[in-house]
Amino acid sequence: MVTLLALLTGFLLLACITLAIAYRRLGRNARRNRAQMRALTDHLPLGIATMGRDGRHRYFNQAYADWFGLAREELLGQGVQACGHIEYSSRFEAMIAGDVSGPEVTFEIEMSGGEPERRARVSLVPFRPVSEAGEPIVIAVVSDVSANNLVEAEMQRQLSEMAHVARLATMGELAAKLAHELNQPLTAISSYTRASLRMMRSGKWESSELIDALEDASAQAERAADIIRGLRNFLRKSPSGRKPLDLPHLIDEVVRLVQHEARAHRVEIHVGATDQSQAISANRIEIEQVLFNLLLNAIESIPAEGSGRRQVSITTVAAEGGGVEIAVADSGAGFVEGVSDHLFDPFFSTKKDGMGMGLSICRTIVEAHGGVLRATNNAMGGATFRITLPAIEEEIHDEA
Amino acid sequence: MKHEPTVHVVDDDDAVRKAMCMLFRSDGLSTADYAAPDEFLTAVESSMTGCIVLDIRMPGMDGLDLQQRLQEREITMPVIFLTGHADVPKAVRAMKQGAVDFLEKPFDDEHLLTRVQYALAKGALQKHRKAERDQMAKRLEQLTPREREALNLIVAGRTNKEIADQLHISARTVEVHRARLMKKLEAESLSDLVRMVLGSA
Repeated sequence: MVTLLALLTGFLLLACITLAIAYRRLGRNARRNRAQMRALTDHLPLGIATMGRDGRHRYFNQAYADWFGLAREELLGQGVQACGHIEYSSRFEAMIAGDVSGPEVTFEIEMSGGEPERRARVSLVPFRPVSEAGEPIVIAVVSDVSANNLVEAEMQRQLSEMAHVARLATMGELAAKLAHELNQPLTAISSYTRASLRMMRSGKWESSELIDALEDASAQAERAADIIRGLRNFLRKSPSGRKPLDLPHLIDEVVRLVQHEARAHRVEIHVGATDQSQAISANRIEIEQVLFNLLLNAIESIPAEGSGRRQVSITTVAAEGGGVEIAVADSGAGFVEGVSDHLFDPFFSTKKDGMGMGLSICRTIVEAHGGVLRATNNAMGGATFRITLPAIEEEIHDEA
Repeated sequence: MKHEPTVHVVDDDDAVRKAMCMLFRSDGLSTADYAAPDEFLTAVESSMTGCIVLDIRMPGMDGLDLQQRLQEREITMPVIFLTGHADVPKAVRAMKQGAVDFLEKPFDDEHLLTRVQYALAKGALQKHRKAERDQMAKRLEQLTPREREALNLIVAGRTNKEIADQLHISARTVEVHRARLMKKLEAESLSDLVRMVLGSA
């Protein structure tokens, strides 16, 4: 998005310069060139106008008139006030109050009444023709950014959708693996117990056979429990892909990913200090997953109906014993004492449709990095989740 | 060698295999179990009766390949597939290859037993039909080439006169052939004869 805006700004400036050059030439061969330039500029998606110090429009293209919803005649020779936009007029007046040689001014204005809402980015560029002793002029470039806003919103939506899908895919894979592995012992247990019941009901049974069946069934229950334990170990040991981590950049990205969700919940995300005096090494995707989960949980913890502060903050500080501590704090409901013991248990969830794997996976990932994930209630309400990750030196020492 | 109808269970998971066999025995069925597809292929004979319960996912050779190998060897016992997770393409292939059923684990024991009973009945019926066909084939072998020609024309609905003309023999000779072949094939009537010949095709 930033690149797009930079491009747009660049394009605006280029357009202004071109226009300025064109305007200079206009003086030489005014009549012929004026028509040519109008034809040219009328086809630009930008509104362009030039105004004298008196504020009267000297020149404007079709897009400019269109943006203010005026006919050519209504603007021709009129002052900027005719545009009917107070902020626009006052910015213009502030500019010409000086000596019209300062830097260009760019600001955004909103057109009220329109549906959907229309916004424009306006650049006022002071320009003093070199060859003419004449008075300076101001070039106005108006670009409609409501369309850009739509594009941005759409991109945000797609990004967070992608993140959602990625998260679901991870969960889905995990669930499928779990389902497949648990199926075998469950099938055996079910068959053993059903067969035992049938035999006992029919009266035709030998106790040795039933004892065998029940012993086997209980061994299968133990096998199922082993699978769950194995899954946790599996999640624990995946140290691949660890690299020095640019934490501020990662946080920026994750915050962008949840921005859409935050807006939907009317929650403001505050990115606090990002101290990274201590270098850390981590699997970027895994830590991203953890931060994404924690931020999403934080956003969702703020009740929809609440009247209080709606804020989630993420802060990085140097941890006491070395390494860094990332804190994700919310102004939500916090958690009930007693629940805190189970927060990180698999399949424990306080959400209506939660699967209860999120925090369990988060803790497993953090611990696999030699870190710690803790949760506490805030004194002022809400909860804070703290991730502590060790500094690089410690990591290398650990692996040696 | 005479075999009692048996549920043949092929599953590499010891516990699942043993538990299923116990379930079938609790329903009064006799069972045989095999820990690997190869083990089953070695033991199986075309004279065996019953049905086959097959795990679709096994190391070495999967259930679908085993099903194909059985068909190549003309082992026609009905197959019920068990699968750990719904896999539509595999289910489609299994059914196209003539599987009786495709059940997902964990299954309902009543449902599995019902399907196994159905498969056993289907297997018995197939066996019976095959026996009939084999018997008919044997009887057909006793016919002389002339009798076979006459038989084909009779079944095609020709009259004695037409058959006599086509084979350049007298109507009287056709009568003789007809009587002989009816006797050899142990057919009681013309309709009986037609049914037998079509059934053995």
